[in-house]
Amino acid sequence: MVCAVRSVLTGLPAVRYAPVVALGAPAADPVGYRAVDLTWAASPPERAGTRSRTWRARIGSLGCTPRGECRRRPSTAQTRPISLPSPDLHWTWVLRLGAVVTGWHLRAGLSRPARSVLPGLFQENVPTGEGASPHPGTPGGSAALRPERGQLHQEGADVNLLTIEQLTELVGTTEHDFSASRPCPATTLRSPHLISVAGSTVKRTLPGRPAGRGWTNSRSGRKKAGHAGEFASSMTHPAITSDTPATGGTATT
Amino acid sequence: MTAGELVRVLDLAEQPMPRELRCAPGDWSLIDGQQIIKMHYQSDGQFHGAQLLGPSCVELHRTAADAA
Repeated sequence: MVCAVRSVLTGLPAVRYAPVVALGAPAADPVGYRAVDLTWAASPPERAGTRSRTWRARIGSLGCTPRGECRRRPSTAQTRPISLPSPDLHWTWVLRLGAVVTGWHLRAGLSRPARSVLPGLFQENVPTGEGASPHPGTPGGSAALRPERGQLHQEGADVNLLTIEQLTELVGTTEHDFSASRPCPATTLRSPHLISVAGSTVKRTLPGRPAGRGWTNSRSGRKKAGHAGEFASSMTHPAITSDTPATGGTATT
Repeated sequence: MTAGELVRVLDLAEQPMPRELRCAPGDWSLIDGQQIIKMHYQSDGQFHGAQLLGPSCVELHRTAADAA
């Protein structure tokens, strides 16, 4: 069961954050940010199970309005209800929000800085990681949350996001429940294993797979030829082949 | 946090890496307080893949998450 996700992102030099935090602003005019703190709290228990749940995005330290209008200094915290069409989509969406922050905006923003980032998180057709395939969005959401410019899905082909399905696959379960109506049950740890995310496809590596293999960043999301759980080994990443924490492919300061 | 997702981003240009996070660098997610999914990226910043870390890493990352 997956019910609570806490993500910590420190893997990039701060300069790379500039395009991200400059929501709606050109990269040449980065906003002086210290942190991005996006919190999605579960809807009240009494609303759990309803088709249209309301979550709140706290965008305090961003210093930006939900419309992507940013200031040079963080503004007071703002909350805004976000209606999503279905629980399943909801969960996926919530995780995807975080994944967008980690996997795309903070990084792809380097080359495409002048876009409206935060509103895009709530727009329709957020990339799923498999090419630029559309994803049903937030018909019940506020129009103010729609992007004013920049279309994530148009340039989303290079996005690899962890969906809830992928995340649950990673932790070895098929269940997820982000409702706050009950406490998180204990999960059973599985043996460490490598997971490759190719588009929207998540596969486990075969036992005994050679170190440094099994990773791909396929943008198409198509399955590679070979045995189940085996990948094309065009990409190698020797730092992530052990059970110990890896430093990843990005520098930290 | 009972349920949902909490994302924290530290801008390391504005402040040094907190001591508690030095042992757990990079981008990762703590799932239900028990499992760690580590994100990996290519040198150009593209997402490269995710990795479920071993149980020996959990406590370290849990402390880091608390610090973050």
